[in-house]
Amino acid sequence: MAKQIDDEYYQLMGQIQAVDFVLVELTLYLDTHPGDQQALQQFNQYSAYSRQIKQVFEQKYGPLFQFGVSNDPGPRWDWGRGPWPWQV
Amino acid sequence: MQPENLHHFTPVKSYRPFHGPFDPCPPIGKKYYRTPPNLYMNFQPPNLEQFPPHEALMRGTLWKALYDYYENPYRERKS
Amino acid sequence: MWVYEKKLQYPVKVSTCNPTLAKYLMEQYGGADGELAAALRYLNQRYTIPDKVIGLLTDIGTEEFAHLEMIATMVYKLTKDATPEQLREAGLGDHYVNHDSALYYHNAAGVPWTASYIQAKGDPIADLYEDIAAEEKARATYQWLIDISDDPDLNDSLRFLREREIVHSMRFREAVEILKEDREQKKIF
Repeated sequence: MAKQIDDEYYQLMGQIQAVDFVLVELTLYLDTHPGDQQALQQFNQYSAYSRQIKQVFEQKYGPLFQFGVSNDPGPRWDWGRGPWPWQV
Repeated sequence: MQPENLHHFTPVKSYRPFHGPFDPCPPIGKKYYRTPPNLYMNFQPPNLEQFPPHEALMRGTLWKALYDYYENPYRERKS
Repeated sequence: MWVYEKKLQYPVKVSTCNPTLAKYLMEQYGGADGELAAALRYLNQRYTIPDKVIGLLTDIGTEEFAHLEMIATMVYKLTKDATPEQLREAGLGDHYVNHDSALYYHNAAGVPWTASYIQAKGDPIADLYEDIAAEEKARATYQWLIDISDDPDLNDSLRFLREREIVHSMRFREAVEILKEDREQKKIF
């Protein structure tokens, strides 16, 4: 039932984790430094990049988000298929 | 903002607990504790130096000034 | 509402089948200073804190759930294919007879999680100081876990989580400064 995962899965996932981690750090920083325009600009830049690589990932390995938040659900219902994050 | 003596600064602090004649275990020597970098920063200033994305993830922070590597300080006592 | 993202915040790896380490890790799953307590503490306090710091409590509280999932992943991987015999040898016999290998919200000693681990005082300074203390206590727990663990891959993930406590503590202290410096309030002396 679980989808086939390969080296590319781990490679793309690693990229997503790195970019999204920058977004987490900038989010917390901006929460206490809302006037920092440079940090906001960096946030927007990484946010766009994150969406871009997630689109590539999702085309190959299915949606990352539930409730229709993902870019493209694809031709078949794929959300419930593993492997799940704690299994890979 | 900065610790007073920057040249000798270490986030690893230690003290020697009193060892009495009726303490059955051999003295551990130094007890260690940590004073991580956030304690020395009142409010993070803008434009601090950053790690590149993947390195930031591996280290657990984007900000070089907040990074503090931890290792078991008692390891070298193992025989 | 919340939206689940099908990914771990950090690529968690463990080197060996070691249920004893899983038992210790439960301290950060259902313990007093663990990730569940952290998430529930911040996400509950945010309803009665000044607007200026609601965003921060929401974001840190949400990140704590990602950390809870990382701890769960470690426990899951460390116990996944362990036999009842191995679990018993690891001191998890008591756990096994009640839960098999299922995770449950208790600490390393098997004490179930309770809401009395967390506080919401309604006083912003009291609540933020509790949050700062919670981060430092969680940092200390991660240190003792790293000290007692001999799994290099596991320690790698634990170091990530320890560093997150440092960053969160920093942000909570900034939140206190923001509330101290609020210039929109009329000063009456």
